[in-house]
Amino acid sequence: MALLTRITHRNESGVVVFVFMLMTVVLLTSVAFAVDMGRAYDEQRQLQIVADAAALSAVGALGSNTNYTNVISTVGAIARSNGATMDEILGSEPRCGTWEDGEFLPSKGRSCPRSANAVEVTVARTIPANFARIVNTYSFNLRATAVAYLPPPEGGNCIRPFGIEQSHLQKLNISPGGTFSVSGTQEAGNWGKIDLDCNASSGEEYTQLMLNNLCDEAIAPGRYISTGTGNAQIEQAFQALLEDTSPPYAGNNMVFAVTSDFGKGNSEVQILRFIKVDLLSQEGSGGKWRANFRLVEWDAVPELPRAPTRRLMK
Amino acid sequence: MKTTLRSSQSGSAFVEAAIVTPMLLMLIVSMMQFGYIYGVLTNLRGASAVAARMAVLGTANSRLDVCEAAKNAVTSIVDASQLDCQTSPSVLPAPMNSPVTITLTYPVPILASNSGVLKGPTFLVSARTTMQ
Repeated sequence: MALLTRITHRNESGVVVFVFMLMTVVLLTSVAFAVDMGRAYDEQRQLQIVADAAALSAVGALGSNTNYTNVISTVGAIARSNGATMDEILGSEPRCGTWEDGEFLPSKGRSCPRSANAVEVTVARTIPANFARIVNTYSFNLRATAVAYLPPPEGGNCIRPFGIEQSHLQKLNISPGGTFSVSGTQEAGNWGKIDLDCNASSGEEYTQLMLNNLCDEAIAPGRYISTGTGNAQIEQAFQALLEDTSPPYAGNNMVFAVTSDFGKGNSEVQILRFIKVDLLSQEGSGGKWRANFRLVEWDAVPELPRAPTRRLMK
Repeated sequence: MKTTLRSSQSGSAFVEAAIVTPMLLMLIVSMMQFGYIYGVLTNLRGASAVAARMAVLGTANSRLDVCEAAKNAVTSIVDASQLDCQTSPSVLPAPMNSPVTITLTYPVPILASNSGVLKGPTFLVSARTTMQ
């Protein structure tokens, strides 16, 4: 036993140095990864802030003048302001699309149709590793994605781009709760599209404005405003309103302008007051449609147009 | 001569410790200081993003509301009363679809100065977020 003790004691010489070297390697490797991973985590957070800011900013431009070039330039400007480069954004190009049932559905190609209500932005960045090189990790590829969308308006009191002649309504002599119709068989007169500066040049665009009433123009009684043409576009918009089955129903509590008489062509009419109506039904098709309404309120007060609400979804 | 040298090893560990300890302490304090500054920076980045989002979404009625949101967004490692909040434009809410920049600046106290060892200026940490 005494011999064993002596031998053991003799062999301990240099053990501490050996253990110290071993632990130092382990410790340094751990610290190296902690430093590099910490930096990567911080960069990832930064990228997410950039993506969030760019997506929210880009979706704000959708309501007034949807255009893919505008989206790209907005995303680029905001991302650069927050410390990202164009390469980091354009590696995965921003996409317009629609947000439906909690899912982003991108538009085809590099386009941003009027129906788009969401923007997806992805920012990618590669950062060099410092200490992790000792284990053959030379860089970290980071990526952050954000989708922002415009939810549908909660109220239906913002004005829609549709006007009805006051003289026509006065002849009908209706009171709140009563019903009345406008008919697509009529020539110029009685009703028509009014231009709210929303660029509603196509049927698709007009339908979106009737559904979402996202316009920039401030409208008040006394104001003269241009009228538009397109009988079939109106029918298409009314049909879309009727097909909107999720509350709040887009066809309820719509505010229309009551105007002076419509002339032929794109003449101006004067806004005289506003009425609030419910869309009940539509009959016929093509140029021979008829839309039936219930009058909810004379002299309705439309909400002022406001910045669309934006939400960040991921 | 050999005997003399061997006997003089007594207390050498104390001397070595006396030399190494201040260096070690300085290293540890530096690491704490760096970690603190980094934590504040991360805080300010998040808070400026929260404030910028509030400013562009139109949920704030004024610049004061936006800056209050930034102060509420920082954690307890930042003394909110010392937080400097600048907005561009200076009057909020901004016009629709125009960019808003929130800049938050915070004077990080030097840890060593709290113990009276080092009297010096604070270290200014700043973070900025732009949205529109």
